[in-house]
Amino acid sequence: MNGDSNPSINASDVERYSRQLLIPQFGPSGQQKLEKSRVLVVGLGGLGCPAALYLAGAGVGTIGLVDRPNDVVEKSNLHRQLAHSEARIGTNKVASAAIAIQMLNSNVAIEKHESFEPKNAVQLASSYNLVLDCTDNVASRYLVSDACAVTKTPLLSGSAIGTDGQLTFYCKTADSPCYRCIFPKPPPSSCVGSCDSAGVLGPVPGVIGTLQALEAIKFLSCMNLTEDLDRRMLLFDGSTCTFRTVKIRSRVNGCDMCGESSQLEIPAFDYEGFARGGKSIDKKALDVPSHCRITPEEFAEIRRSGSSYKLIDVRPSQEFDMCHLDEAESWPLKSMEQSAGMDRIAEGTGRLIIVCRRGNASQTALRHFLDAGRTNVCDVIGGLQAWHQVIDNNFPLY
Amino acid sequence: MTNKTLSRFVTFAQSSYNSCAGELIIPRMTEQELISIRVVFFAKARELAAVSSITLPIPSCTTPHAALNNSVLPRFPALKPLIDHIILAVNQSYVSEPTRYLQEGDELALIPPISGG
Repeated sequence: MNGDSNPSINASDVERYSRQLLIPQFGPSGQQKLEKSRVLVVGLGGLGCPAALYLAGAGVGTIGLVDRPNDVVEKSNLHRQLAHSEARIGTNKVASAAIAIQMLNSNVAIEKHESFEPKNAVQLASSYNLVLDCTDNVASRYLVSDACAVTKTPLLSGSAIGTDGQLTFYCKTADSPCYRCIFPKPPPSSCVGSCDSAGVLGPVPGVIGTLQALEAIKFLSCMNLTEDLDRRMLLFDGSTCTFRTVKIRSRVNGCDMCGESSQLEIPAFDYEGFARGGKSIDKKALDVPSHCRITPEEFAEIRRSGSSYKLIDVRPSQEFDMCHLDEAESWPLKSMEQSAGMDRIAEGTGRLIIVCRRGNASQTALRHFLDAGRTNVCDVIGGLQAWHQVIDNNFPLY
Repeated sequence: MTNKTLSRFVTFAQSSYNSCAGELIIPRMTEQELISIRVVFFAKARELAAVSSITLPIPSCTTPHAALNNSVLPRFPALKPLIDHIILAVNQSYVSEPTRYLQEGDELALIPPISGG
């Protein structure tokens, strides 16, 4: 084969892929890029079936398939999981999907994996150019995203239930969010139905899974269209046949996974428990001594006593502008963490009290002061939100 | 606007709820200006609210998060368990922090995660 500048395709492939080769932005070079690509499809259900079939049809070189080890084709799957068949009821879904792909396009190399778990997720994600999240549960969604965030593997994440679907890119660039950036806390189980319990109209995951394949093909063939689903989320409402997109945020610096001070260890993380309990992870990095933390009541007493102190409000400046305690001085955590801020941090010996919105950022700031050797410094537990609740309900709660 | 004016407005928007006139408020306002926003519910939020969208009057100078907590939630208490887990978008753009006030005609969208597949 020639290089990208002068690509040529063998005669049989010209015929097979002719209809997509005719698309000017795709062309032979796009086809060659697809053939060199490796895509991992996690979950071979309502999303994974159409996604994997379209990728195979388009001629993606290698498709990895993985699902739960014990997930077999059931009769109730067949209304939407069209890669499977009546004859394969009871067959492992990865094996069943592999048969369908092979029947459609025998050029595709299929890699069958037994499981996608915390112990092998990183290794699996790292060996592919792109991962498709076609899973059907909260724990798996966090695991897939974490593995992609840590290996910097672009992730096309689709989901569907009832008549609703969503699709977005995570971890596509250094500025892209991961799933935890957008959904840091898992929703309570009462609010997350599964297709098993809440139902789904078959074509709804069909639409989303098909669009997942479309976005994957554009990405892998480097079509360089001006807009994709990086930092945009597609929302599909099948009940009214309405598509909308919303802009979503960039990567969060303080994200538990892709943030700069992340301590999350994927193999040790209890994904099932996290998804069940809806609890946030324990931020070990903070680790501020308890004697350096004061309650809102204690702070109110210090204020009343007239003793001298300096109050530092570490919230972003726009929040400080919205409301603050009279004596507070604004020193946003972000600017504190820049080098000029760090130079200033050890100055002075008078009493310092740090406050923020909820008592999290203030602990990070407190850690910086303590690390710089500053003494006589403390932060307010629960921040201004607790101040509102416990001391002064006239102080704005936002 | 000065910082003081801003904080007064925020307190003022709050005051419709907790009836705290607020010591930070300098002039006490007796009438509050209302604006109309459109609230759009997606997926589970639509199911819990039992409506796909509504037009809602809210006090002017209200942040998206304050509108959610102070105007949407009291009207649709069934949304409560979902509220910490949604994407909040104003006019099709995600809002993470209360950096702006809603304007007349703005669309506030409540987008919960979907996990099925």
